[in-house]
Parts: sequence; C-alpha cells; structure tokens
Amino acid sequence: MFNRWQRAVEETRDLDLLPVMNLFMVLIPFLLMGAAFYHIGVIPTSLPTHTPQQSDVPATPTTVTINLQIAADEISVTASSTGLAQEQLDALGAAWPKRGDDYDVDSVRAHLRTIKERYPESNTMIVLPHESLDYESLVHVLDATRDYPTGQRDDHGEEVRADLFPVVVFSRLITAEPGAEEEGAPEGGAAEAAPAGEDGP
Amino acid sequence: MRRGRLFKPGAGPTLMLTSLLDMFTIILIFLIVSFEAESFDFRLNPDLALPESTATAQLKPAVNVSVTSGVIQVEHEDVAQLTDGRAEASQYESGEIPALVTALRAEYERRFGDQPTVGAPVDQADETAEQQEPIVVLQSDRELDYRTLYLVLRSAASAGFFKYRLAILKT
Repeated sequence: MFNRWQRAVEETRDLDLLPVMNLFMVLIPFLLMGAAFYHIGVIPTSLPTHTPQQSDVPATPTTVTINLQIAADEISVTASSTGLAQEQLDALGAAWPKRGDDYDVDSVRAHLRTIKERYPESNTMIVLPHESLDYESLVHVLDATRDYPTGQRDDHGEEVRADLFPVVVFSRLITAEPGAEEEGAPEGGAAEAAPAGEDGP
Repeated sequence: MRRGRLFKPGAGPTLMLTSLLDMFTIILIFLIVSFEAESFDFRLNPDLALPESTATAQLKPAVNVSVTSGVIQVEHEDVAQLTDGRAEASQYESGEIPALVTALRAEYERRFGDQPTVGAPVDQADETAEQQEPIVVLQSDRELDYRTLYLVLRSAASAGFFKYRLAILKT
C-alpha cells in the first residue's frame, strides 16, 4: 500500500518538460523575427499639380487654403480663398518669430484652430519651408498643424486627435530676383504652383 | 557520512527547469503580443533615423524610396549618390535627379503599366483602389534638408508619382 502511494507520488512529481522547452526554443526565434519593436506611421502629402480637368475654384465658397511659410527666423500663416474678400483673408494672416531654436508651433496651432472653427470645411495647407529646414523640424511643424489632441481617449486608451488641416501640399518659395516685381503670395515670393492634387489622410 | 547524506546513490542531479519555463512563457507572451504579420515588404533602412511624429495614418503598400546622407534607394536598390545629404548642384537647377526618375519610371511601368493615373478621381475609402495608386513611401533621415527632400519628391512626380507618404516613427 505504502509502496504504491510512494510510486504514484514519484511519477507525478517528475514532469518531462523537455518537449515544452523544445517547442519554446522553436517558437521564440520565429516570433523574434516577426516582432515589431517600433511602429512606423506615415504623413500623407502631395506636390502641386495642374490638370485641365480640375478647377481652381473650391467646392464651397467658405473654404480657405492655408499657406504655411516656414522661414529661417519665423513661421507665418496666410490664407487664400476665392470666396472671401482680400480684407477678410488679410485678417487671417499672422506671423510668429522663433523662440530660441524652436518655432512657436503652439501659437500656430491655436491660430489655425480659430480658422478651422470659422471655416470647418477647410482642410488644405500649402507648406513652404525654407531650403535648409531639416526633415525632423518639418515633421514637428506638421504634427502641430495637421491635427490637435482633443484631450479625450478612445476605447484603447489612445489619445483622440481632431483634424485641423490634414491635406498637406509641399511647395517651394521662389524668391523674387532683386529689382523684379513680386508676383502673388505669400510674403516676399511666390509659391511654385497652385495646389490641385489633394490627398486625404 | 556527510557525503552520503548529500548524494544519494543512483539519483543523478536534476535540472530545475521550472523557473526557465516561467521566463520563456513571459517572453513568448510578449512576442505574441508584439507580433505583426505584414502582408507587404517594408524594411526600414538601417542607415537612417526617422523622426518621431504623432501622425496616426497606417503604412500601406507602396513604392519604397529611402534617402540617407549618402545614397538614394528605390526598393532597396541604390540608384543615386548624395554627398552629405546633398545632390549635385545641376540637379537642383534642373529640378530632378535623372537616375531616380529612371528607376521610379521603371517601377511605375512594372506596377501600373500604361494606365493613366494622374488626375483620375480615386475613392479614398476604397482601400483596393488606393493600393493601385502610384504612391511613394519616403524614408528620409531626420537631418535631411528640405531642398533635397523636395528634389526627391519632384523627381518622383516626374516619374508619375504624385502622392507621397513620409515615413515616421510613431510616438
């Protein structure tokens, strides 16, 4: 009786874990190869294009297109629209000098939010950076101008962001030759072309 | 006498695998959670550092172009050389990098043939339609200046790509 009990205890005590270990040793390298230790996202953008089928006139008269000029020492906003008078558009413009090494993106975002509240259908922003602007600073400015945090969290606990001007069109500022008459906006130069090829987020 | 108590005759030393098994179980769970099965080939260029961003748009299949300080790659193949992140002066003047245009045009023809895509209206909600669009995913080093970035985008436009996705690291 005692021998049988002792044998049963010994049999249950010695679990053979080697097959489980073997399975783990195969699974772990396989999963390591497919594991993502960083998460890649994208910022949708486009370049100005001109196609005969598309009209420069916006779909509704109450939309404005934002021109965001990123100069070496300041960042400025101007607006263009076929449905608003020049005085109204001028009132939407503003500029903020650099604070140390950083652009005052908080002020830019606050200003763009007021424009968005007045013209909620607007979503296009033409970005005109200076030529030496590094890619990281450009992304930093785009983060502040494409959307903003609402302060709420979704079911997954992630921050909910609302659209500001998510349709980004890159352009280049053509500096006017000395003595030559400046044409168009914004401030001190002309954008290379009008935007037409819009791209959603 | 002392030795006899410590080592029983016939009973060899056994490995304590329980703690190792616990560790493996935790690693396994962590790896399963972070496992991402991508249906398309996207490889981050190890020679560049992407900037961090709050952008939430998802990466979708497209033509991969990466720009480091020394080279421009299309689909992981070197196509043009840069010097400290800068192209040749003549290329800035002409507004495009000829080797990049050639490589992207070949990629365009391989993927889309002769079908016209410029100006064609596309339903953004239709994922299949968007995947058939000529889109470039641009991996660019965070130090790259806008002048070169714009030159690369202009070259892509010359090859028929008018929409771009700037790759970033999600914060």
